[in-house]
Amino acid sequence: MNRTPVSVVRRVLVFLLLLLVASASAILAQDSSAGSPNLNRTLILVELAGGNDGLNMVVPYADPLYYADRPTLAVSKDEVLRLDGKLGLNPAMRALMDSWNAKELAFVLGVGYPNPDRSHFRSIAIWNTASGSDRHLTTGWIAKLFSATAPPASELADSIIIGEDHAGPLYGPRMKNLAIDSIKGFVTLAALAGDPGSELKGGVTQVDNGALSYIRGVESDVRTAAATLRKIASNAPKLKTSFPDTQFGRQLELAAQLLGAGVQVPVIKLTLRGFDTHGGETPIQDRLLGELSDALASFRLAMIEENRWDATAVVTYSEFGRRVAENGSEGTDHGTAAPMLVMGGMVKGGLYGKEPDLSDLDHGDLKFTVDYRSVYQAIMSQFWGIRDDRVLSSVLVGTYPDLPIFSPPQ
Amino acid sequence: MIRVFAAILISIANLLLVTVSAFTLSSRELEHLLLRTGFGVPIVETGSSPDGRLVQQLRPLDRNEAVAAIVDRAAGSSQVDFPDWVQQPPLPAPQLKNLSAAQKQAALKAYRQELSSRARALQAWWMQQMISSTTPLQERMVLFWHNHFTSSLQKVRSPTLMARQDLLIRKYALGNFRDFLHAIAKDPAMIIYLDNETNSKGRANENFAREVMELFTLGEGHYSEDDVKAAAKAFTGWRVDRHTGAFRAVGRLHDNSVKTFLGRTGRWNGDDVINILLDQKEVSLFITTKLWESFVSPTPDPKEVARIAAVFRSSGYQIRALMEALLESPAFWSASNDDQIVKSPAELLVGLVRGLDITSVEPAKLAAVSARLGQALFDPLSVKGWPYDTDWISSHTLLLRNQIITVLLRSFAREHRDQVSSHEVAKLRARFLDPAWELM
Repeated sequence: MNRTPVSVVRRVLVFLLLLLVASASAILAQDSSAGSPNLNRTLILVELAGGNDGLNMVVPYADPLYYADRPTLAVSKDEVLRLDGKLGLNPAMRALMDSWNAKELAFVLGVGYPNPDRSHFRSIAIWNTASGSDRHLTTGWIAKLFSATAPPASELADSIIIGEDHAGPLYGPRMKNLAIDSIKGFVTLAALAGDPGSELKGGVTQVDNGALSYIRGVESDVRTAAATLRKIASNAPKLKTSFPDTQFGRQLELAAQLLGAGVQVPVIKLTLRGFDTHGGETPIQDRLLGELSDALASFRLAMIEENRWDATAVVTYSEFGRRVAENGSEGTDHGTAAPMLVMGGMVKGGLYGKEPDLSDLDHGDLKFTVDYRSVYQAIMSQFWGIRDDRVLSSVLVGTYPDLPIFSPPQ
Repeated sequence: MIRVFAAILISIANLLLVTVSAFTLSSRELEHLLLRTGFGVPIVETGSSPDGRLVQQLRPLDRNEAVAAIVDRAAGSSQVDFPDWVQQPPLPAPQLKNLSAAQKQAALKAYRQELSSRARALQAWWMQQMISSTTPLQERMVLFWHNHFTSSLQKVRSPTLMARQDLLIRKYALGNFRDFLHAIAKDPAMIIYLDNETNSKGRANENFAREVMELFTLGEGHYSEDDVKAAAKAFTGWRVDRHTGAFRAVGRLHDNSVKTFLGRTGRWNGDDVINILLDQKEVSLFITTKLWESFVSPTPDPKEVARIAAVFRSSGYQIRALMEALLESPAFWSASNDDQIVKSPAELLVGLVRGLDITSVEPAKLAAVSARLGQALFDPLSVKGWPYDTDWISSHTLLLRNQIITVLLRSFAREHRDQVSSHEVAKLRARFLDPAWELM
């Protein structure tokens, strides 16, 4: 059918009107969610150390190329937990399906950065500092953010590191990071640091200098934290939710205990290590993904029980994904892009970004579709409500498009 | 008249200075010298500590004589024997052809276990070397250079090649920096660590080219991205022979094109690039600054650095000449620079074990503790090396440091039950748990 010029004009006008309404409501929606920064919300950062094989976590089960590239490692079409018509979750992550169905779980697909570095150390340093692969920065992205926008004063710390004591994104000159394995262990060890006011004993001449006052400062932070933790240990009610008896399960349980006891801390960082699966990948990755998912499922229930879930978000990241084609020892070598898991009461569940094309590889590796800094941008601007562009671009060394992953709590 | 008067004053001042430096070392100075160039003086007199003999030797000397004696001693270094596999070719990767999946997995597992047991043995070896060395300055220099020319067991995955790199570092620790830089650029562990293995004609990997300038010689801001690209091309084809673990230059992988590097144009190869780098004045300033931060204070004095760097250059890059000038400088001896630098975990642990003459704690255990405190030997966290100064201290590491101090003191008290009272042990404990003990 031929269109008359008049109807074309009308269509264009209607379209423009719709666009106007849409953008106006978008602006309104943005305004209502903006408000002031809210660093009372807690980000749980989980580093999947070693390079998690993203293709076997969120599986492109409808793509024959995936099965061609991975004759022994591919997760079969019948086993995946379908997320949509093309992608499915590794069955080891079954425990997360409740949160997926509750629309509190999101995956950002194809996350990476330009000119990817395949060295574990270099690549995690890039993720930690929000830098490009051509820059060596030392201060972590969270530390950069907190030096621009101070988190609320806390008697405990600016951030808590549970397990491996690698500050990573929290590394920075003015960060008060509390590293802790267990409340009891910390309190016991802290007793060695002596009581407040004991500084001058020992007969060592006091010299006024930076290093000494820094250490005395850490010592005094330890004492204050120990006092707070002692109170928590004796007063806080036990969590009703039980956690899996794995190392990661116990670590997330500690995080839940602290939050359940009312600790206000903007970041808790944990590490799950062992993803460097060059050989015999499937049993190793299945165990790790299972450990991760089981613990996260308990954590979600505990946070719902403690009424903290709407102010909590879990984000996983790894230094890189792995090569698309499996190697000769039923494993995969260092690769590039991979999905990130985002979960929480404010998360709008679903899939974000674009799954990389398996027929368009760069020397056997995935081409990233979402810059990891877009996820950092979303965490800062939507989860924490930080809208100052100067702050955001100084943390990210540039500007990155937002992904609408979070919505404000009802 | 005034001029004559001034001249007289200056010569009097000079005379005084000469006289002052000709005095024998005070005990503060002796303690300072051994803390900074080694692991400290004996904390208790047990008679068998290597530092006890060093103290006897240095006590009658003046500052400059003591510096010369310490440097002389370090140049002829002592050494604990390496584990015997170091002399053999690197552990070959397992042959996986014609094996079933289960067999492959078993072979890979055995290979990884052997690698990691060798890695732990090598770390324990280094710890033992620091504990028993009679040339502590040599050990401090080796620690410095491993942190400067970084490589890691984790990335290189060959304890043999890491041990060979350690030998190279020991050879040049107080030697000639020009020869040292040329040798380290061809060191197999370094080639693997900074990815020169994948640096080929037409497909350059810039990792080594960038780090050799940014971290090894010039520092950021003294070269352009084009210099990085040109240097990367010059280093193409420098490889490691997987069977012998030796360096080899592969001609067909080398890019022999004309390159412009730091303003000079020619068909440069890797050696040429290193020679051009060594023509830059910044190299001497960069190295002097870094040594100042390790041996003098975290805040280098630019004027003094320039003076000492000039000594370094005019000596033809003798590290020994630089170190003597640094350790003789007024800043090194100034009391205002006492207690300025946080001891690294290895410095803290070795200092206690040597100072208290503790023999019952396994070096492998000490190496593991050092790793928990953030300083895994042969395994710096990144290409920038281990942390420095206050970065060593977090709430976690401070508590662990206190814990290990307590554990070591308990071993000391057990070993020396007959010589020390519990009162003395309690006094030592209070002294070691004071934050000032973390400093040097």
